[in-house]
Amino acid sequence: MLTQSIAGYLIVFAEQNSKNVTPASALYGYGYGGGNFWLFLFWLVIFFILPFLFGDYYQLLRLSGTINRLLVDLGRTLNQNMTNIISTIENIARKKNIATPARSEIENRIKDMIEYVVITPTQLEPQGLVAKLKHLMTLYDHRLEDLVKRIIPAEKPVVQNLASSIEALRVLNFIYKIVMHYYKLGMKYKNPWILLQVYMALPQIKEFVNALNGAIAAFTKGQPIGDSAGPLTAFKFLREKCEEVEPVNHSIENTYIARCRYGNRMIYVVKALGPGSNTGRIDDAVIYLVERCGVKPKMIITVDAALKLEGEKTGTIAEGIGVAIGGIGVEKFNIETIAARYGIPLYALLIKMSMPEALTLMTKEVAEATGKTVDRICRIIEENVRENEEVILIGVGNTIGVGQ
Amino acid sequence: MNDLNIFVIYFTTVTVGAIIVLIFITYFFMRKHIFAPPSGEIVTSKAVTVLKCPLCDYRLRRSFKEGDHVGAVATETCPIHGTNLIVEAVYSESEEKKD
Ligand SMILES: [Zn+2]
Repeated sequence: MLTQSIAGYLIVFAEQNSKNVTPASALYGYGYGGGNFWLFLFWLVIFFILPFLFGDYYQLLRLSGTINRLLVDLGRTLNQNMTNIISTIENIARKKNIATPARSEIENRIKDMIEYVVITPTQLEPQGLVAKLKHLMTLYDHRLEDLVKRIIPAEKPVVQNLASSIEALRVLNFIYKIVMHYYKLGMKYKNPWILLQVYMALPQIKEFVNALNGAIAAFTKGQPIGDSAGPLTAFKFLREKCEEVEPVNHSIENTYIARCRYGNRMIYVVKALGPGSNTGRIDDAVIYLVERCGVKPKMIITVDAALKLEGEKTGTIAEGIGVAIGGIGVEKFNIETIAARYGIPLYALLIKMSMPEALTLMTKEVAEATGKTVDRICRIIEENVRENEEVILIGVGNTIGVGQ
Repeated sequence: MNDLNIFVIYFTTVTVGAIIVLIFITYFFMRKHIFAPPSGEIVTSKAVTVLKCPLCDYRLRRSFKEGDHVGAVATETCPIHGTNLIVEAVYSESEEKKD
């Protein structure tokens, strides 16, 4: 191709002497009087016809290669994590002398669990939707823990941690299936635009997969993750600032409520019951305190981990009003409802971190930020609450690796 | 003949310019892959557990052990009080790999 074009170029040069040769005719081979028609045709094909004919194929080739590599990586990650979870189960069983099924049987059961589906309620009529969602969430948590307990009947924190790692594996598997779906679809119809959609989301997918990978590692070891910043703040407040800490008796599962005295003010601290992986039933705890115990809080303070934007620094603290709770929004709805009914001011403190930091082992910046958050809470209470008044402080988030 | 000279100068300039631009673009694209060392080898993160005496400010840092969680009572003791230390924090710390 190159030699051809050079030859054509030389031919035009050789024809210099004929007449009216201009730079343009020398370069393009045609036009401005004289030149080479075949050379013109050659360029026409190269520049205009080839891209239109083979552009899609070239794109398809490039995109399918990239996505194929992603799928191979994803499959490997999935297998590694599956092995990791199974060996964690076996190690615990060996250490605590618990009988478990054979390795292949455990693998089959986990494979069943990662295909588990939760069918969300219909939203045709939104009346009572939150209660239905809460019911399903509770059911799902119980079911998952139940299935884990059938594999390894250990104590609750161990079962909760394993259930959470399997839940993360389920999300990983879901991503794998979605990417595979688009890959197969694109190749089936030979359509690069379908593959392009996956390609555009590729950086985010990779980031999320790495985060889930780290999450499973943290869950199997029972280490606190970035999302544990809220419960950790509540823990530090109780241990470092409070006097006369005493747990409140209640029957709400997976939840810890303590009453304590700070600067002659009564503080009710609510967090999920650690150190197993769970987020507790925080809305139930608030309803219990306000409606059953007759607590008259001057404010409800929620502390939670929040996603930062790319330019923000990890561990910065944002203050505001409202209820700082992520997830589907069931707890948020219930706390907002009760706060509105009794006219309780809602304060929120957010500890900023990126999504990978929220899901993997807590970073030093976040751990240090929780200390600063405790100081901030003290200041808010001193400024806004008089002595002998009551406050509810909620440490929102997964309490894995954080006791009480 | 004059026309041809102009053409040759023009053509050479454009070609050389294009090659320079190409080299620059390649450099800026490849710099990340060629010149920066692979991230996994230089910085590794490690789980650290910080233990604190419940009675004083004595702190002890050690690597994470299985079963450590915030609020747990550790087997290590305070050299001043002799009380068991309590896990104050568990976090990851990136460290320079020495080799
Ligand atoms: Zn001491």
